Amino acid sequence: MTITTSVTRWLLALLLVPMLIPSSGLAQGTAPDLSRMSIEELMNIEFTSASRKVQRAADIAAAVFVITHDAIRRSGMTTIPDLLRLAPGVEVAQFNSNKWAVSVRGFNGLNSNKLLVLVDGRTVYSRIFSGVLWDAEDVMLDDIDRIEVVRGPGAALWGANAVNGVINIVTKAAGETTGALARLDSGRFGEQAAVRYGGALGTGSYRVYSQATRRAQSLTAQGADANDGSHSITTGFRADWATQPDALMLEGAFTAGQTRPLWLNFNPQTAALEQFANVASDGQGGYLLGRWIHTRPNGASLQVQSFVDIGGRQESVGNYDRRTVDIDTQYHTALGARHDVVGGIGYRFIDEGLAGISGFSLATPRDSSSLTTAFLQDEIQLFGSRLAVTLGSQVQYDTDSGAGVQPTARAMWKALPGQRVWVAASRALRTPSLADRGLQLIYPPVPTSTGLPLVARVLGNPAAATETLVDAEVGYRLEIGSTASVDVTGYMGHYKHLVTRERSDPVVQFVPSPEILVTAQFGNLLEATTRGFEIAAQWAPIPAWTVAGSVTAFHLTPQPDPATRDPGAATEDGSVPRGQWQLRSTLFPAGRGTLNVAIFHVGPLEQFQVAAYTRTDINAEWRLTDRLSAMAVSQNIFDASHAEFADVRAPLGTTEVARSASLRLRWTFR
Amino acid sequence: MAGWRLAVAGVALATTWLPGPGYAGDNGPPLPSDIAVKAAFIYNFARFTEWPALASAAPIVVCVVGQDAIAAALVKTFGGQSIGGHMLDTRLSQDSATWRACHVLFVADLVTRQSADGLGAVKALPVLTVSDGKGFAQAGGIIELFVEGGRMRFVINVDAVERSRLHISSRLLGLATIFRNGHIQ
Repeated sequence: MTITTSVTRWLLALLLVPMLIPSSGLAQGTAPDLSRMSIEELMNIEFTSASRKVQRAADIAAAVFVITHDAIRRSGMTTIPDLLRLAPGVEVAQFNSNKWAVSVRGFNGLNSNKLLVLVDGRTVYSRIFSGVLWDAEDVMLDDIDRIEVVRGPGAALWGANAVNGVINIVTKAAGETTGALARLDSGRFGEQAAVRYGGALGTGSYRVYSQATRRAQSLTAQGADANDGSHSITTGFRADWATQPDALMLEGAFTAGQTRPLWLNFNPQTAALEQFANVASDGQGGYLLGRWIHTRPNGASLQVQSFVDIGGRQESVGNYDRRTVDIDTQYHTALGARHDVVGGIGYRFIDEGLAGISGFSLATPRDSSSLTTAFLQDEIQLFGSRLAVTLGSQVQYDTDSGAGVQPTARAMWKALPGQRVWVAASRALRTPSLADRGLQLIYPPVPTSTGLPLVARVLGNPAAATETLVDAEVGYRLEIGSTASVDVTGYMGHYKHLVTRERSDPVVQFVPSPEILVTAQFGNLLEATTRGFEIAAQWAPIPAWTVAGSVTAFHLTPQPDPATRDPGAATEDGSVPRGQWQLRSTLFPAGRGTLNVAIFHVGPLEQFQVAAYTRTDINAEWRLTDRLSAMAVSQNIFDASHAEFADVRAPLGTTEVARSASLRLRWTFR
Repeated sequence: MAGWRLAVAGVALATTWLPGPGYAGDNGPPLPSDIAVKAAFIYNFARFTEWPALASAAPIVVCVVGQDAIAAALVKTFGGQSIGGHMLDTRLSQDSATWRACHVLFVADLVTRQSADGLGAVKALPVLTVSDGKGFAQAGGIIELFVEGGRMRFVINVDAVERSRLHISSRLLGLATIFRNGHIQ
């Protein structure tokens, strides 16, 4: 292999130069000087488990952002996709009142298939559709400790489909949620009510909770009610026992709800998709998860986690059901003075079925598969911890898509106190979903002038290939005391075998019935290169005022295979805006309240011809008594309504997100 | 573009060949971050506390129970520093009979339950009790460290402060979650 390009030389230089500097020339120890930090500064040090071990966010050689419990509460938002707007570089677009498209670094859509989402370590990525069914993920917002957002490949730790990012929703331990809580949000968006009670359970703690949400209709482009209201209720529990050296956690929840997805209706008379085939969709699901952590006296820890997840939904296009059983182990230990090793093995069994209705089906309506994974990561401290090199890989065997290797190499150089430079190179895989391999979508016949009806169909590809990403990232972090920080990341990724829709010439067939058949079959004839940067900054000029902002840019260059017959391949732009920015301010004018202003600007979606929009949220929270607080929330305050998405590939009606005001009352009692 | 892809693969390969151990000048393993941060909090708690009868040149005795790494971090990071002329004297104090002599007593989460009797005995003494055990403040301890939203936070039980006759600075109280009259304020 000859390595001659300038990119190579530059990356190698960045990786190797620090190693060539004699270590004697460097000061020892580069962790922040805790002895000189004020207590306020200490309180700003952030820990995350984004590296599958608890670590300072600033010390991870990856683009990590943590949405804290406080930020969640102050945002006034009531859905997880909305909350993800708070993280730089996450692309959130709302289809209608109950459907969202969420991605990181492009490839957005209803099935945003390159983003892995975990709730307390339980994957909520659906393999049948390749993506997250956000309307089915209902987590009690008051119990979320933090949402960790990792941009860029996380596959070496988290496995397949963590191609462009990993979102890890972490709920509080039961011991942190003792006492009673009741919250009511009510306004233009609908209502959300949440109650929780927690207490002691033997040597541990427990909580039980319930959250009910009713989401009001959104507006059509003409300003009429879109008739897409939805409702859901989630009831669950969590119990934690922490008796050193063992910690045990058990949690479970059941969710049931109804949405109106606004599937577009194919009209054979006009041969067009029309709004709306508005049939209610029922969904329900439950899970049970247990985790045991054993800590040895030397600090090494063994974690065993298992969950069972069962769910289903009844859509107008078909009935879907899933059963997942997962067991995952991980061991984390220091080896010698320099090596910090974390590794593990996992096994997952998935049984999924889709019984299609009226022209929509899967070639294999039911599929049972298993996934066996192993990962190992070593973080090596060099030059007195000034340089940390992380090498790791995940290997997996999937009974549906075969073996895969997803390595990563990362290095973080703690250049000067408060400054860090990191580089990473990774490979990640997106395995084909059941729909990619076996979709059978047959539209009703359309009369033509030839006398023969025209039948259009979209077919999956039994030989669908695994999409691959090879990605390089560079990051820089600057901390200015505890009052300001800047985090800059640049990336470049190359994707292969991206899904295309290959059209074939019309065929006249006589059996089983005379018709003209037009077929589009999934192929993998698109490569693409993405480039972009993400800049996030935070500043607390005075203790009573914090401002945070971010700017992100994304660009995708499609490289269609000359053989492709997908007319969309050449104009693919990743379905996300080229630019986004946000600015958020939190003011604590008095000890009893906060005033929050957030401005989100999202650039236009060129491929879908959706205009840019700027959303401004203003809310004020006031503690009426020690136990009762009230919050006035206004969202999208300077804009009557705007559209956020319009995906021609998802036969889903898009509506407008309207201006909204609501009131929140929150009562706590310990 | 093919060249670029090879390049990335090349970098991935190159880094796996890099030698791991064997570099001189290493100063031992870095302390696990949360331990170092907890030690820094303990030091700061001492900075913002006044003891009713502390002789002008006497050391501030910091006793650590159940987590030796905290004591190591205190000695390593704050061993040479003084608080208002008082040097820190960090001790490992498994024996609860010695706790009366401590100014600051840190009891690690894993031994708080076993230490209930010993802690009860110092409740009315000017000993700043600190723990990262859940429910420590509720059980009558003075300061409880906890992690929330990925950041270290602390609860101060002001009833326990009054009982101990310690004076805790309002700056520290302003940053704390206050526990009073049996519940979080």
